[in-house]
Amino acid sequence: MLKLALLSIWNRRGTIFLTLLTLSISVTLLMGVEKLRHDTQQSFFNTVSGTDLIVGARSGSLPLLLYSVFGIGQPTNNIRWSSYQQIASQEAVAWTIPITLGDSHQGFKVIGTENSFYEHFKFGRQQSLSMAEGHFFDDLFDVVLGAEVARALGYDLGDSVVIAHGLGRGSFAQHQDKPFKVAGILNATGTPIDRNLFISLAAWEAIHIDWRAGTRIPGMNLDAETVRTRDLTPKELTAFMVGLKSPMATFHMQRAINTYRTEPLQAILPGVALQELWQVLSIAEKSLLIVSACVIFASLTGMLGILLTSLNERRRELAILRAVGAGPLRIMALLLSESVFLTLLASALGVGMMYLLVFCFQDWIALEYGVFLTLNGLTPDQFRLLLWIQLAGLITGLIPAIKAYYYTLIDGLTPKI
Amino acid sequence: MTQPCSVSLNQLVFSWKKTHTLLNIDSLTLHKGEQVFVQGPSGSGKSTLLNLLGGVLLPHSGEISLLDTPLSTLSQRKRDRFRADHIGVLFQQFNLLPYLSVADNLLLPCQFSKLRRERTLKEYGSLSAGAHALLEALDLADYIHHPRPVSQLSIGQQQRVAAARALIGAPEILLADEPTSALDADTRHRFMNLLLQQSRQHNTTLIFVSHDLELRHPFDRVIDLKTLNPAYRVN
Repeated sequence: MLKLALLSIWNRRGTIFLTLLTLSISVTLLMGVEKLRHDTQQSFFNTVSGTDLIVGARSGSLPLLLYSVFGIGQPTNNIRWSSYQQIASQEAVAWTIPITLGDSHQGFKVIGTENSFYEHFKFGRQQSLSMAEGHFFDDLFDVVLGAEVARALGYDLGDSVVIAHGLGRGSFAQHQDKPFKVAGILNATGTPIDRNLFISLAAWEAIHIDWRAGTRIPGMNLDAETVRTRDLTPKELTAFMVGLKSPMATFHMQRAINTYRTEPLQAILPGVALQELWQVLSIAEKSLLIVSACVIFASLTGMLGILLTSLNERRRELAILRAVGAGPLRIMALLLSESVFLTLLASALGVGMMYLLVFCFQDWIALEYGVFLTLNGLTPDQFRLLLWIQLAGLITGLIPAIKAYYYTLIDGLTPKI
Repeated sequence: MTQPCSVSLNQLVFSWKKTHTLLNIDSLTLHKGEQVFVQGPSGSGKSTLLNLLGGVLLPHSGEISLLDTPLSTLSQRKRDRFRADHIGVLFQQFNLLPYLSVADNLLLPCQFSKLRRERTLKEYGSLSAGAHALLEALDLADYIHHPRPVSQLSIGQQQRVAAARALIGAPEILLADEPTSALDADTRHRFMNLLLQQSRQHNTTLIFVSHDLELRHPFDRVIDLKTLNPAYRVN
């Protein structure tokens, strides 16, 4: 019976193939959107942990979170070095991680920071950073690479890296007079860190010492060796992360920073800000999910159309089966098994295509959009969606099956066509 | 009257929407192995009769017994099973599934009926041997060694494959619904000879419905629905 169903499908492979194609594309879409939703959420909440406060120039909690943690968007203003030092020296503060942004290398963002970044930054479930190779900053012109940067650009320890002034791949202004040496490569974290390069704040100051307002100061050109003799204390930084000795002090500290007198600062709680950001994003993701559910519905309707059309042509086939002893229920089951088989196959193809797409485009998506897609197994949510698709396929298949049931009753042994 | 009874109709009435009687047969008995030619113009209830005999339709009153089994006592599922086991059916044309090979088309009843599969195995040893024997008997031996798609067969050849399918596993009754109407005179003659010879050999009760009166001569009995079915005359 199964063989009959399969051969019958094979006999109509032209139209069936088209149905299968549309259906599996829509399954790919739905599963892809769900994957995107899930992995974005994962990478979102895993980007930062163990940090009590993030401090930046006063803007909004979302922009601050976006540029400091995700490397998305531009900081509105910088913080004075003196303010940073004053807050960092407070009694309640256990550690701070300074962050300076604005330069890039081949499209990857460069972060100016200190060794405290390597010591204190935590992601995921309180995981610390670890080196795959080499060490964190030692020499002034040491650069440390995130795992993805090293992989994508094929860099090894000791390679020379020239940092571009400003962001964007096509940046013309290069700090080619002060090249960096790859000192270390971090292990992959699955967070935006993988796509960052790290240099020390002193190095940041060094490559910008002969620059003002985004361009070189004419006539002033310090080479890499001379610059080492200068005072490389930073004057400004973009943001910093704060770890407190006791979480009890968090709100007190936040209030103190938000009302800081010498300049307008803002401190945010990363967990709360992440939650806020997620709420904004989840609306978009939910509507994407709804749209792809509509696409599934449309392609199931397409399948229904094709099955119903073919049913008319198959009336003779059904009568033959009836004549050799197939009961109406059996013929119904034949038709039903066809649509169930099609949805199953389309689901398998769709899931396969989704993984293929993730495999092919995960680097590009990570680079362009900062979303880290993983090649993990299906999530419970995805299984649930697949189950719903099967159910929808079954219900769709019921319509031609019931029609075939009536055809066999009407036609009997004397088919009309 | 020593031969066992194969088909027996008694006080049979079948109507459409209760008021419109299509078929009304007082009494009809066919013996095992009897070859009957049923003639009648269109609208005389031929297809209704075939569907009733095939167990697809049930009469509103009266009784149909096939092989001493009253069909009305069986559930639809059991009637389907009964048809699979005991009745071969032959249509006017397009009898074959285009996506199955000649042999698979021929063996289709053995997929649906355990009884016919076992009978074939008992008689020939294997299903393919049974298929080969029937193909040879119907002058289609060529297809054993040179299988080709059903669509490449002529209509006459297709009808002979269909006849072989209706005969495999030796069903007791063969219902043929104008199986020669699409054939030309030569192939028709050849087809009729083979069909009659094979059903005779298997002692199958052949119920052959047609309005081509030229074909009736070799049959044991000719039944005219016009006279048998008073409902037709009323309409």
